[in-house]
Amino acid sequence: MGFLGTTDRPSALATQVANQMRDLDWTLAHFTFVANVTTLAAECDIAHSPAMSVASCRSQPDLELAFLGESSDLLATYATFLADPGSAVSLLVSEEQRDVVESAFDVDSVVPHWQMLYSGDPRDLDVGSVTEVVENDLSAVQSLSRSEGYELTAFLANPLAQGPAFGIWERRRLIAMGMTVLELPKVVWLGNVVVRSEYRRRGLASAVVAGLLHRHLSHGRTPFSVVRQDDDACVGFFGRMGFEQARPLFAMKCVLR
Amino acid sequence: MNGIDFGDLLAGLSTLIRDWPSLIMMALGGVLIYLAIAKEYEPVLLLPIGLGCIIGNLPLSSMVDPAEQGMLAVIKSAGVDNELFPLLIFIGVGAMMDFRPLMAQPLFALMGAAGQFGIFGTLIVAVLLGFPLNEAASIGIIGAIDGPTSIYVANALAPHMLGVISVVAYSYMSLVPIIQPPIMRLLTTREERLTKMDYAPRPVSKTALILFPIVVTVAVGILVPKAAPLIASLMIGNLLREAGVVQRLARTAENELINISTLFLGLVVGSTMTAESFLRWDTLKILVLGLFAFALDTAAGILFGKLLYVLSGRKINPLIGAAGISAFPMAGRLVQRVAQDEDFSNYVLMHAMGANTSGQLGSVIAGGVLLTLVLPMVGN
Repeated sequence: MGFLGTTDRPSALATQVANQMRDLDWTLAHFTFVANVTTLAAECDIAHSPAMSVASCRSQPDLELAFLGESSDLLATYATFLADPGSAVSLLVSEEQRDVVESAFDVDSVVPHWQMLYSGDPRDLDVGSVTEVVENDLSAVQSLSRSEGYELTAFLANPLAQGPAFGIWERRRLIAMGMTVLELPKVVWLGNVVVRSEYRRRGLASAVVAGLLHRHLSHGRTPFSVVRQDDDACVGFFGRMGFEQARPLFAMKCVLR
Repeated sequence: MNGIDFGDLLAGLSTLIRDWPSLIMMALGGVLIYLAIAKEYEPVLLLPIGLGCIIGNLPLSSMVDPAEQGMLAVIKSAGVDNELFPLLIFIGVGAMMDFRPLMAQPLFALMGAAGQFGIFGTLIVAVLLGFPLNEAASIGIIGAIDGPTSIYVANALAPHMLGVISVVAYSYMSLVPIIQPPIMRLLTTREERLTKMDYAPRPVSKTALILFPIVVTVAVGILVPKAAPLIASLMIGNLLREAGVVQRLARTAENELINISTLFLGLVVGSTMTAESFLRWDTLKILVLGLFAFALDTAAGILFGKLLYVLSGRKINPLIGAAGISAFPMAGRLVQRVAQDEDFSNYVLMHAMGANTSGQLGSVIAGGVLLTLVLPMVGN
């Protein structure tokens, strides 16, 4: 696998993650950490020992941590190797990891999310008139998100850098879009689905998500999305698209002690 | 009743005009405040130092006048002249330090020793340049890359240089990310930087973590008595942390105690930055020598790392040696970045942190060794 590095001998962590990624469910449950070791590896710092691995990505404006392990002491210690005490950090963690985080850091806020996993029938997908959004369209993407007051979820400075994005245009104006938020070797996070308010309820969001699903399923990747549990509209939309609530995740904002 | 002497109202202004070098120092204080706020260069120290510098150079300022029981004069007498504040800061630093990475990989203690070479190398160069021994040693201690140690040693050996030594030390500490990487790349080959190291730490028991600060205090206290105050303070804080039964004390040490001490120390150090002590050609020499000390530390650490690379059969990444300095955790992070620049899957952070922790300890011991060697020679 490419993420094992540029030398012949892969690191112990890369080997460990590569082995565990054979289990799709494990990969989905730990996708934030897996991203730090795979597709985002060149941008990430990792403190790693057999009992605890903590990763932070330099490319993100806000410090985001991901970890593997169960020791809150080690998490607290390793986090200070990556960021200074008093730093604000964000994490997206599973239910089990939430307890570890609460013991390690001072927690400011916790927002429950669902990880929604696609389990629909690809034959039902109607791609419609979507076209691929490319890097040259970045300003149109930013304009759409700004006009709708939507903050793009992005792990790199360029939100289009993680994988394919699709959109619908009307007279050179982007009116709907959906993106690959994060692309891992076997799974993809789909999101940033935005439709201009005056074009809603016309099935445009469904079409762009269908375009994304079509592309990723054809490459054998398992799509999922992450949505706030209290966002009924969003949960309902992905539900209708064939996504199921796979596991609760918690977006936590914390301060390092 | 005497009439109002309006000349008194303008006394400050007229003094300032006569004493124009103070204006330069106040401007320098402004520059330090700018660097602290705009560039975030060691803001916790440089900001109070900058403000202290402005206050200390105000004309007829009563704040620094001992005869008037000025606030900064009182604080100086209470906590700087007697070295109290640096020691209180060390208690706080100790409460924040985790020696597990070092105890899990004792080999890296050697890196922390090698990383102190710049102190002694610079001392020799400073003597050759004509500085008296006490001043040369105070300049050399900049190579500890450790603010409180630099202040402690400079105050004991050459108190008149306290301001310049502190500012130079903290300035270079904030420039670690700029100074170190080029030296790391210059002194290592790509093949060396690509060396991957397995992290198989020895388990560190709770008992070991508790005994460590006690044993180190006793051992260093016996071997290097002059380092005892520094080490003991550091280890008091660490014992509070590791004991696990006095969290309130540990939190106070790593928060309120260190913050208040740092604020007072910064203000006082800044207030000692007078034109007379600062606007000298020697200041430029000290700037250059400080950089030399820093570079020498890094180079010595890397060269020692290269030696271990060879002796270990190419199993130890020589970059780790660059982390054997006191700038924690920045030096360790930089080692990780430079290693990752060659191969993003090369995770050497934990090894680097072991060396970095050792460097913190090493710099304190080196400060004590310096005092032990130099104080008798300069007649104190």
